[in-house]
Amino acid sequence: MNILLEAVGLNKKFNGNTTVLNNVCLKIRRGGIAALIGESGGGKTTLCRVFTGLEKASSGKVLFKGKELGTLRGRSFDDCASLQYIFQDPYAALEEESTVSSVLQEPVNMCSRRGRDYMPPQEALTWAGLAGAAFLGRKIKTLSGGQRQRVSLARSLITRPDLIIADECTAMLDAQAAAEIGRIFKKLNQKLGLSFLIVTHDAQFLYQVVDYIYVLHEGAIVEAGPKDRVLNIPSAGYTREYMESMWEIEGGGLIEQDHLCQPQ
Amino acid sequence: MIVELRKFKARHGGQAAWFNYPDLELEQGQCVVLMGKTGCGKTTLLNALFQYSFPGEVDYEKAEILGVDWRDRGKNSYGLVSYMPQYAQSGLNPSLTVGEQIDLVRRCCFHPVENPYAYFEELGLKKDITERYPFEISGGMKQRVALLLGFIKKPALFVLDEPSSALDYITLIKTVNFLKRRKEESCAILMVSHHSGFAAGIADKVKVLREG
Repeated sequence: MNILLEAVGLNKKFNGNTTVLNNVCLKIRRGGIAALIGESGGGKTTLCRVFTGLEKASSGKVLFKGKELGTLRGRSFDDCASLQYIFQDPYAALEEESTVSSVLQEPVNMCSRRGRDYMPPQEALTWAGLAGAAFLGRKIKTLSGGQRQRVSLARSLITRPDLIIADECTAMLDAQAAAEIGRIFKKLNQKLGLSFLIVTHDAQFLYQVVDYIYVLHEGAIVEAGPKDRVLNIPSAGYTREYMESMWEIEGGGLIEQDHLCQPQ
Repeated sequence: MIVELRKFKARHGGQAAWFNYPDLELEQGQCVVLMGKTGCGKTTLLNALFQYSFPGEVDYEKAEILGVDWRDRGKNSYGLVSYMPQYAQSGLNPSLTVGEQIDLVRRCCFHPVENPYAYFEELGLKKDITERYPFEISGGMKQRVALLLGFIKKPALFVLDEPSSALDYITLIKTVNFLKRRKEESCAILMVSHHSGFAAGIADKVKVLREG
């Protein structure tokens, strides 16, 4: 099955009249790394929350591995385990007083109880770039933002998911820490065949990590296509405006320009 | 001089290692941006200087904020300094609408701006969000609302810790322009940012901190 996650005509209204998602249709390919970009308030996080079952769509369907998914309460454990979510704020996503070990043990216990194969915590930490048994004993409150985000990633790997949805997971990290997360995603994609849907505003992520881009504007997908095409020859007016803004910011900055290629 | 630091160092309570900071001078209408890797002490510097009760120690040859020694700072600085901490968007009051929070901050200021809603267009915010609660708006909108709340008191010094973390590129440009206009109105800005492009758009000086 080549299509892992599919949105079919998703609509979402808040308070009955504010349209947040407007007939969203997209398909996430198995083995791919897709990005969702667009302006603040455009519906990116709401779409991710509908995919993960945290939010109920007003109409439309979410299909995962060909099966229709409801909200979180209506999903099977295997569906939840196979579709993991990394939150934007690493400081809110993990319990401050917990140890890394206890954070990672929770999904292990849940998988054990239900007979699902799981990844041992040490292995998950190694994939997330936090090798060493010493990390297991560390309290969450002693970790930096980048380390916390990698613990969140390790936690999501325990259930051996097929797809990880990461909502601006590098927004609160410095450039080096963000680049490291990007390298880890790429490695997990290449070695384990893990698929990703990444909400990001990070130009380096768009150029170096993802292979397909969806552009969301005012709740609707205005452009979708392979990374090189969308970044270099955007067809929608809104995508062109977004790319021009990106270059105005990144082109004037101190960013290492050889990591990026200029649009044609 | 709005901020002047010489041989300033700080450490958290219970930790042996000090963060040693480069000398820093910030004048009216200027912006200094602090950059550096995670864990190099950027936020610690802001907390040590502006947190009401910093849980650690500081040591310095000179540390003046608005011409007053760091040890004598206090409530007098409330009307002159705004501090937007990291993740400020999570700090909005969940039980008040955006409009109610703006009005509340206005009532608490000595000389608030006359019409804070006039800034909405500059920040790319729609007027209808004033009737919404924080959970009903996006992370980027919350971040801009937090930024707006900080400017209502017309501060002489605005301290910003990672103000661009939840912003897309189109909104970043609006935010850069908003901050430039406030600089032109004589506000001094001390900012921590990991986003080099954003920093370059506003900064008069960039200080790169290294570990220790």
